[in-house]
Amino acid sequence: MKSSKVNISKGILGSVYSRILVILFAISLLSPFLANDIPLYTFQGGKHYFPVFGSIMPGLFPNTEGINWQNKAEWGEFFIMPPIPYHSRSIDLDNAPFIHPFENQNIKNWRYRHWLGTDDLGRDVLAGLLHGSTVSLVIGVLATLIAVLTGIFIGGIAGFLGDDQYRPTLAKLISFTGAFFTLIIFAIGWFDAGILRWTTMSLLILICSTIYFLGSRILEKIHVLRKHLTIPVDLFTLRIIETMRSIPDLFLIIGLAAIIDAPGIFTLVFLIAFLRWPVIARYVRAEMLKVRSQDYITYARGTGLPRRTVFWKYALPNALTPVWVLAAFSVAIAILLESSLSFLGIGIPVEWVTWGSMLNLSRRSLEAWHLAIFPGLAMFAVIYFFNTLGEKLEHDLRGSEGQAEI
Amino acid sequence: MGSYILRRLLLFIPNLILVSLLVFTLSELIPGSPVQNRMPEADNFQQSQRIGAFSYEKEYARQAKILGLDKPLFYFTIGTSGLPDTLYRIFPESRRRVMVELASALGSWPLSSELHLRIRKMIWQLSPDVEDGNQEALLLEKELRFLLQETEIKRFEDRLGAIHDIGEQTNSMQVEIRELEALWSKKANYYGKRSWIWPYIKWNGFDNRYHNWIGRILTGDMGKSIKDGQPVFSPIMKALRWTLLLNVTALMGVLLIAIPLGVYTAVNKGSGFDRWTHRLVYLFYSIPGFWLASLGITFLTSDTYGKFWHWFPSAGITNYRPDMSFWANLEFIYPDLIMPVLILILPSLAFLFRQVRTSMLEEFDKSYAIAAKARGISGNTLIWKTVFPNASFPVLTMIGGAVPGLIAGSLIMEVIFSIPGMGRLMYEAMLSQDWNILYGVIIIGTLLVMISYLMTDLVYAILNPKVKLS
Repeated sequence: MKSSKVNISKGILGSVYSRILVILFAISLLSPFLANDIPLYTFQGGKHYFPVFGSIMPGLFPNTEGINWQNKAEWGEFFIMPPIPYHSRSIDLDNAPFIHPFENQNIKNWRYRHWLGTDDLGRDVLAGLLHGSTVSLVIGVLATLIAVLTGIFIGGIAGFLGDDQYRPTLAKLISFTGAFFTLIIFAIGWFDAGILRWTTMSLLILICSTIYFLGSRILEKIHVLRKHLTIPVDLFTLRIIETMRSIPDLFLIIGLAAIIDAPGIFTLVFLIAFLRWPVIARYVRAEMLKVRSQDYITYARGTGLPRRTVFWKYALPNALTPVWVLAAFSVAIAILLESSLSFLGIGIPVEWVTWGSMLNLSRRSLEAWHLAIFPGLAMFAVIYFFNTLGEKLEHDLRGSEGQAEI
Repeated sequence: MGSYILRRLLLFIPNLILVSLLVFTLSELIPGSPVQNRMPEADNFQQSQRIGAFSYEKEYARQAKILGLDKPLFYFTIGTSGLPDTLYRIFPESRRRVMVELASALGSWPLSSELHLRIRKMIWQLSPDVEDGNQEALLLEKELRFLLQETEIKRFEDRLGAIHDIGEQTNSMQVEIRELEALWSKKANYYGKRSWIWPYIKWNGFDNRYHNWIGRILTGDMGKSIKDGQPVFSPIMKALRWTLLLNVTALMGVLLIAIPLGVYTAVNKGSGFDRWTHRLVYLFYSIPGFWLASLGITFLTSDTYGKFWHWFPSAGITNYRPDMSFWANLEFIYPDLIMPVLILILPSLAFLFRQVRTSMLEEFDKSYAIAAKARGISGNTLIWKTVFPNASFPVLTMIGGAVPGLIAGSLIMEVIFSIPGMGRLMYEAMLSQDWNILYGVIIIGTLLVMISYLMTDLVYAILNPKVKLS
């Protein structure tokens, strides 16, 4: 069990999986350099310009600002274009609608060919695929990261404390409840009054933690309040997890996206993370329940180490075994969710080109076979890769072929 | 056993309460007010019905009362002592917001509400002249209405000065304007921001919006659709038939394929068939359903790519006859449902197939199976009578677990294939911002999943004598 991390690094690092992973991320993060409608580099008037870099990091390349690089007259005599000289949003009405890859294209030379065809507005499909990879991978990875961290924390605590391990004294419980409700009531009251800022909020937290610590010390002087009470932490957490699990995820996300009127990557990241953490928490909790009954945890507790140390240092690291596997599957599921949503036109700004939105366009014309094939193929390839990665991790960790019950 | 079932049913209740809280919060957070949809356009209303100065607001408040919005939100209210605890009774919400913002800027709610009261009274007094078409009164009324929108001290003061000038020039309402200015000049006396620090908590009793809402939901009243004003319960139930039809058919299909396939590949472990089935099913597991659907619609529903590829009718329920019952219609519409059901089957198929295969293999290795083999039991008897019943228990729990995926998957299928099920209903409700339908569908969908989990657990508990559930 303890050697799980070693296994992972042995199995994955240096294997074909890590190479594919690096290539995937390279493509998705470098997509503005691979497909763009402004030059990578121009030389004019004795000066060097890097328009694509400038459009991404304006601070580093200030000399590219203020020039409209969309205007070809600004490019000068010598310029280097990205491999695909189209931005995912650049409209090419000469090659619209739905020109497929083998059709005659109305272009200057082969450099400007739409290798995978165009959509209804003549936007290049290959450029769209590259842009879509950025959206998909960033959302998939970020959402998984947030979901995994939340899930580990909540699931780990629920599993570690279980229904019997959290036994605070009555005094602590009373002062905690008091401090907590004071915090909540004041926070809401101050929010109403419009005076809730970072400063006031931290002041409030400081005061309430003081209330808790002082209150519990003072109340513990009273003999009756030194009695211990068992709080079924696991039961409460499990109720929340089960509730979240019983709401069909697409339904919930549509309901949420409908009211959050701020389409964009980060809205979607938080929505997907919100949907996914219960799954992670459920597995970490189950693993933690196993870990906490192991001998080494019993010994660690027997030596009189504080419970916090036992949790962070000994229990949690060993309960993370399923997380690696789950994380890989979760990226696949997050990407699938993102694609489904952009396919339905929810959550992502309308003008953005993503795999889902391109696939959706294929329904406009029965002749647009290239739009039906390529975005879906990209989606499938990435989802397949992450699922296989998950399988491989599970195989390495458990030494068996596992189930993908996500 | 009885106690387990009872316990399981009791655990159903906190789940329902949590879901209801979540959905209620969602429905309260929706942008805009539900009253807005029941009101005519503000400008039209003002022109057509100039009965009084605030007829629109009055009508608005009346409609809000009909909708039960003039009640507190929840069983208790938490707020700041600087503001009254009956804020929720002020309609429209825009007026409430302006008054609160002004109060916050002035540091005093009483002053803010007093100012608003006086300004409104002045507009009220002006209304006979305004109706007569008096230009000066019109000008003053307009300025006063602007004053009602101001939330910043500086701008409020400027606007007040302008009103003072108009009053001087036109010789009207000078007493009232002077009184207003006198009140305004004393604003420093009213300043009491310190009291805003102290929050209050107030018990509202059971006559609150959440209580009324959940009470209505429990009696099957999920509100009315804004599109046609009809109760949303019946369209949701009509749509539910389609969703159930799709999902039950798909689930049956999955079971009928996955179980024999899983058992067969487990028995012939390592054979070519086993390896290839495994690989193929694994591939299908990663294929997004809506990609398959897009491919299917593009290539298989028309003659565009040759007559041979025209396998299915074009997407959509085309042969539905409204004059016949839903079930009688199945005879005509089943060709339209073949492709969506097939696509719905595939991802769940992979999921279930692997479970059947794995748990069969596990059971084959157990001592009872080996003992049975040694006793001479073999062939189908060994597989289906001895091993399969034991291997089917984990599969059983999987069926419950597959339901949310199926329902979510059927949402996209319904949208793509224009099947009037719950998913499509919800999607259209989202586009037309028909919130009652949206949240009704979420509730019904969640109930479906919960019931499927419950059934799975109960069936599991009843069938499996090994598990001692306490």
